[in-house]
Amino acid sequence: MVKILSKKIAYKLGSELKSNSEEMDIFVYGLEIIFGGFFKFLAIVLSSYLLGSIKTTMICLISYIPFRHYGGGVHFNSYGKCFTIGLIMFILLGKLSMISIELYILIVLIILSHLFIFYGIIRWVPAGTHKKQITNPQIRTLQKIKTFIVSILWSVTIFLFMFSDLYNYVFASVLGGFFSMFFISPSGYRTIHTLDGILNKFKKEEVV
Amino acid sequence: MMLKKVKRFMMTGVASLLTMVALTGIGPSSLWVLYEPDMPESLKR
Repeated sequence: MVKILSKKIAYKLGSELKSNSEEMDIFVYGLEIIFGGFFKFLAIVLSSYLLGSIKTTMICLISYIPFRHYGGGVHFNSYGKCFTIGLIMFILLGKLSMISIELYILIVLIILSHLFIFYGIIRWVPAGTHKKQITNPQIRTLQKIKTFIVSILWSVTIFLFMFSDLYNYVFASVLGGFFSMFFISPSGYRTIHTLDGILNKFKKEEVV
Repeated sequence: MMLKKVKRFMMTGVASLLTMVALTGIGPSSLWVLYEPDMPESLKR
């Protein structure tokens, strides 16, 4: 849907400006980026608002995005799958964060997620896909540094929530950071590829 | 005449904005959370 809409608008714009096909492809790509992000964000905000978990879902999302932005990681091969799985995942994480857990369990989760994220930055960041690979060692180091700065800010936020007794927000931040690094790790790649395969099967069965 | 000029100016602005967004997509940082669209060949070069 996003691709069709982007193509329609881009071709309309391109024909008005008498652009060539290469320029039109660039407009389509730009529109896909804008619309893709907008529709997904809107769906997550609306669904979490209706389910009464908007605050924790947004904290989870805000913790998740910066790591993925600088750290890279796995992607689905279609927008539909990305939209569906992304929406379900954030709704579940937002709801899960609302559960009150024991303080010692929360502290253990904070320590484990920090260890996992610091290990991931050293070991896997920046994680590429077949569409985009970062091979330049200097750029790779720069992405690691950027992700490390993100992790420091994430830690500070967690401790600020902790000292304000906002334990649900702590839990939401921990889950957001943890799942972000999970999708940068090889296990995350395997999970998404498995899910991709399962969803492809359903699609084929539907067609038959 | 004036309206046509304004329309063209706005469209050029939108086109520039889209090109800027597309150019950020080729950088090392990923703009997408769980899906990345196919990059046009002209941007790969």
